[in-house]
Amino acid sequence: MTRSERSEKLMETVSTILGMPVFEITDDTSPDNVGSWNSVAHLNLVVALEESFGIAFSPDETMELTSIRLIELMLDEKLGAS
Amino acid sequence: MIEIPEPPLSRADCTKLAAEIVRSPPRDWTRLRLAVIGSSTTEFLNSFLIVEAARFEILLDIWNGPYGQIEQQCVDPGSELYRNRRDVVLILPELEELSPDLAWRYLALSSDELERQVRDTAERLRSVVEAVRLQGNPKILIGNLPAPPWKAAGLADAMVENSLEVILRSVNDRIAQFCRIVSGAAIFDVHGLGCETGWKNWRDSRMAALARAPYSSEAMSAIARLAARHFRSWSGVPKKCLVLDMDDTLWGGVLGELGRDGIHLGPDYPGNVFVDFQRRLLALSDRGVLLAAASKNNAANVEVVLSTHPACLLKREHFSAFEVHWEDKATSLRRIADALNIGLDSIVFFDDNPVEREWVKAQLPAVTVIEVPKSPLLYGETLEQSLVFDHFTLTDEDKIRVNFYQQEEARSLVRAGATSLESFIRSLEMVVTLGNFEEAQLPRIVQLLAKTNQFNLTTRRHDEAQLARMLQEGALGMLARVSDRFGDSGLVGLAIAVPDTVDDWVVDTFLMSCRVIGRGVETALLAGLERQVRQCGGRTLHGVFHPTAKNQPAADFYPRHGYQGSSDPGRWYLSLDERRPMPETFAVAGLNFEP
Repeated sequence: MTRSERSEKLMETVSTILGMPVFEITDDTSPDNVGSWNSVAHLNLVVALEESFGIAFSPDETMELTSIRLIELMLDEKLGAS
Repeated sequence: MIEIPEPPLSRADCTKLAAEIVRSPPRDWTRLRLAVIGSSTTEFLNSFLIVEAARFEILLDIWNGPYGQIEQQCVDPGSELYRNRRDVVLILPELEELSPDLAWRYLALSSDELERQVRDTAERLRSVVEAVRLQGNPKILIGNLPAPPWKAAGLADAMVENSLEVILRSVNDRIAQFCRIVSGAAIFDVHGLGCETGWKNWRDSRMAALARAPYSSEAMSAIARLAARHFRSWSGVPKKCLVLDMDDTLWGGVLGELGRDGIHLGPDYPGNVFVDFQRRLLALSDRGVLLAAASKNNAANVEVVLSTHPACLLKREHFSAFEVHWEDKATSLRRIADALNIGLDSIVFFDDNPVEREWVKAQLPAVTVIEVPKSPLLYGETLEQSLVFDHFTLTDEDKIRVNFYQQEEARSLVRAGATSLESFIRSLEMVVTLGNFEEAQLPRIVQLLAKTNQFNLTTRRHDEAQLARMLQEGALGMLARVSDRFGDSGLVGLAIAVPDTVDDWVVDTFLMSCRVIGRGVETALLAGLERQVRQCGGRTLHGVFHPTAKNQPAADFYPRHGYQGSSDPGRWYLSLDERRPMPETFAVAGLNFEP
């Protein structure tokens, strides 16, 4: 999976779970600026990411994925940065 | 049209589908207002619930109670739970929350203390259910207890006297006990689901720790499927009869070619597969489903198999109707519907031959045709998963219904020998017992309201809450039971009259089960109703007929009983000054109608 494919998949998943259009999602999108990103949506998002990328997050990692930028960094870590 | 793929669904797909369903729901779907409240967080269940209910064209409007507040929310009439009308309340309790000692410290409890806590836990849930029932009387699905994630006694758990399993079973048995009594409440078998899924796959310990949401995706999907199955069982036409083919359905091979001793039916493969399937069919029959045969065969050959084949579990008497000949199967199905007095829409057809299935589908679209898989190994599973015989509760009358029809066969024989209808009815030595509605009978009354189509004058499908309200507001509910020398037919007729003014009463509902039509029982019930309305001060009784696709047999009921027509063609009335005599061809018992 190339980085752009990965990024596209991430946007799609975030858009689905949070119910917001892809074009509104930026690196800074976070629970602080998106009303629908509540605690239930957050955990749904984490599970959805695990399922779409075939990875697993620890409880602590789960709590840290609190913006698109942080999620992308975590994906780099789990899937390799290339 | 929203298409829903088979499970398992990914979380993203499930969320997406649920959002789509809620955004643009088809107009003709059934709306259900569901409250979910559990020991744990239940919000994660919502998208699963919405998607699974959508399979049955049910649209859910879900309210989630705060976790760990089952008792507060349900027992307090001022709680948020009761702020809006709820059609269904799904309660998901866990032992860990209700009684932590029982869940984790049961080894440290004395036998007495343990027993007391088991009783208390069940009693608390009973109060919860009874409290919910009093508030608008929604349908209640009360979960039994799932297993906690680990066992205090470890390896020895199955050996100790009060093991975790014993505790769970004791509490769950008690929940079931009160569910059988409280009307409108049913067990939601979480424990059974967990066993099927495997407790290891049931829990998600990370989600339990982070969000008090202990269920895995698999568990939530299973819970949602079961809930949807319950929702579905409340609507639609209940299926009453399973019509079975024989060759390659009840046994392997073609009887006409292989003969009794050549067909595959016996202890070894492939015969054992068919014996297993017959076992399932017998269980369905025990449950109250009528079995019927539609087979292209020589009847004599089939009778020999049924009566003398050592491995054939199904006997002739298990079939309420028997169409074994070379005529086409649509004709057979029509005759079966006639013989059993049921609609084609309450018939399910099971035949291994796709050509027969297509023929029946084309000729009789009302019949439910099961898509039978090629492998007989999958027959039972397929029938089970078709959910066609799902019923919310099994009433005792369901269980003995099969006998009713066997008695009906005997009655038909007598009818053939009797010279006139009147002498036939006299020869039955019938006793019609009239009575007023009693609370304990409400589930059965609601069931009869829901499934009687033909002799039903207004086809009003009241539920228990509506009935209770009507009775409270002064309505008269009368029921008729019939027994004769062949047996007890049970509850067969219902009538409800409501006061419009002090003088004028209206028959809200009048229905009879088709089993007893043509014997004058309807006249006895009407006479009883008229007399009681008169006793309550009514002077005139108004009757209404709402035509449906099926109730033509009841169209002339009021004129036939001397009611005067009015300017409205579907409305009649009768002055109650004159007392209608009871029919003389049978005895009428129950209510006292002295002037």
